[in-house]
Amino acid sequence: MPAVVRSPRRAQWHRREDGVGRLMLLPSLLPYLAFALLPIGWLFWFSFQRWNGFTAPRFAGVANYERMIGDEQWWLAVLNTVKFGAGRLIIEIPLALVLAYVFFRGVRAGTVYRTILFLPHVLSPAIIGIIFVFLLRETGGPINQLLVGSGLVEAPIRFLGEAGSALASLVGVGVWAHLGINLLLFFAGMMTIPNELLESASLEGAGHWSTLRHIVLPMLAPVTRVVILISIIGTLRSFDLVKTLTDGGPAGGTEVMFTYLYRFFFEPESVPQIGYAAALGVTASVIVGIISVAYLRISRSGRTAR
Amino acid sequence: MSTPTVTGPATRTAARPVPSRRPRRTRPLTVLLHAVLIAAALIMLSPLVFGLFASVSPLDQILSRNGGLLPRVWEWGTYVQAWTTASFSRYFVNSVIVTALVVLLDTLASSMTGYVLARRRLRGQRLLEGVYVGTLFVGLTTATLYPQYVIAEALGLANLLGIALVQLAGIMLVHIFLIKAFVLGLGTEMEDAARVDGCGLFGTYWRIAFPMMRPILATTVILGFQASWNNYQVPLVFSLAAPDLRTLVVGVSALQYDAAEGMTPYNTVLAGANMALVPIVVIFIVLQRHFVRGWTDGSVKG
Repeated sequence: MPAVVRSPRRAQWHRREDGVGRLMLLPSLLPYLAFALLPIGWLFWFSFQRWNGFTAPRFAGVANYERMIGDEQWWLAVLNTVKFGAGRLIIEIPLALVLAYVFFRGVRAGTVYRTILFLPHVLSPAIIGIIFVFLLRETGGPINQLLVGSGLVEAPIRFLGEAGSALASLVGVGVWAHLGINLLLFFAGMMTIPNELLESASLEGAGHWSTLRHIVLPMLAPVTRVVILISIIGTLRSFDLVKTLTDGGPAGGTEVMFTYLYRFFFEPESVPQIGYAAALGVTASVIVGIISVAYLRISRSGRTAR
Repeated sequence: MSTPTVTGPATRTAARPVPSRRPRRTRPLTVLLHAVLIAAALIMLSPLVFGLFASVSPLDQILSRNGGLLPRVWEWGTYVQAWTTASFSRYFVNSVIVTALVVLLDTLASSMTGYVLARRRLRGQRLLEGVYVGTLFVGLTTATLYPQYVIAEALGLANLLGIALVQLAGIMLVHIFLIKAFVLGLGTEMEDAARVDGCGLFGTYWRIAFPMMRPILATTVILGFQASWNNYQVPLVFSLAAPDLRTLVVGVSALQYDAAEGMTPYNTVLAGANMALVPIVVIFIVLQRHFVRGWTDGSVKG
């Protein structure tokens, strides 16, 4: 609404309308200030403090960050986080793409299958972890009963008992939970590909594989970038599933960044180390940011190079 | 996948009637494809079914080495036990209150903000939007839980409302931008007519624009409901000092900790887990289309 006529009454009316507009921003602004902006600033500030949560905080300069650099367990957690993320992406993305393509080309009862594959995504990751702790039990866990009963393995597998297998289990359950959403997003992206392209491809005798490679994948590139970016950020920020499925165990073998720093805030061995936890939190956010930006750069340059 | 270019009768499905997209597929391949899809569907469903079976099985059966997967006897008593002894009735009410608060506040706050951002050009508005986008990028994570709790406590909000507000702060920014984009796509004729008739900004929003936002609000309500009902971290931290504030998800994880120490039977843990899952599964099945649209809108456009 461009205000061309500027009579005093009109100006006054505009001022009042702007005032109303500002008031209407408050219901989101107030919770945002209190529970988003302030906590982020707080975290940054306290990363330079030494504080146990009870006595007065002391300014500590970059001591927390120095300690972090020498904290081997932290870097192990960072490494685990990256392994977990990479493991999930490598399995999840190609699988979701191929399945989405199958549904896209049409298959009987496709909607039913898609619904079932999407179902785990609406469930709470924390509860999924709890259920899988039971399913993956070494003695009497249903999965081991099936494996041993069918003769596929001789002795029950210690899914959560060793660092390597626990990380693999984490990846497996993560894929189980998130395959459906990636599939759905790829499928939705494919549905926007113009029909003519596919028609002309099939007229020229392009098979499924070459259609997928030369038409669907290039057309889908923007969607793929978003899906991969969401997955990267999601896995790097993991907490719920890891907390309830392995709780970082055994012996720190599946500790990820956010389960590790959570301990210094809420599950300390002696007293909370808020300053150190805050420094880890800031670093974790920076790591997520760097990896995301790096991915965006790489995926963009990869496209222009082709 | 090898692709034969044999022209066979196109397989009919009801899902998508565009014949040109229907592939020319030979029969063995179709059979194989369905075998793979059925296997995938079983892999997705069986963990939930086994969880359900185990929750009603006798404890000695699920703890023994070869107890079998089907319940020897169906003991629904585990659910009664979770509901009463483990205070799941209380947790259920908490979950409902928090989720309802989040959905209600989110719908009002996000739609109001999204509307103003789409329709007005206030001083400082660009800055505000920039800060919101920046926050989305930095993200509220596990690391901000501690300050969020400390601030809530200082404001006298170490309660269910506080849990809802912290969750709201985490989810509303995406919704604001979804709604803004939606409103920008709406024509202004109806709103203009209302303004001419003397309707103020709020009146135009509330009487004209809000009802027109229904499709996008269906999306944000679904996303908000799911995010809040399934949220673990916020109620976990708020209930560390006050178990009364536990929601269902936190209640189940507390039971799991008890079970690890032998204080709670395992079948009761699974009964609790199913109580937390069943409501959202039922709602998902009823509102399937909205969930799917919500997620595709929310991710690709957001």
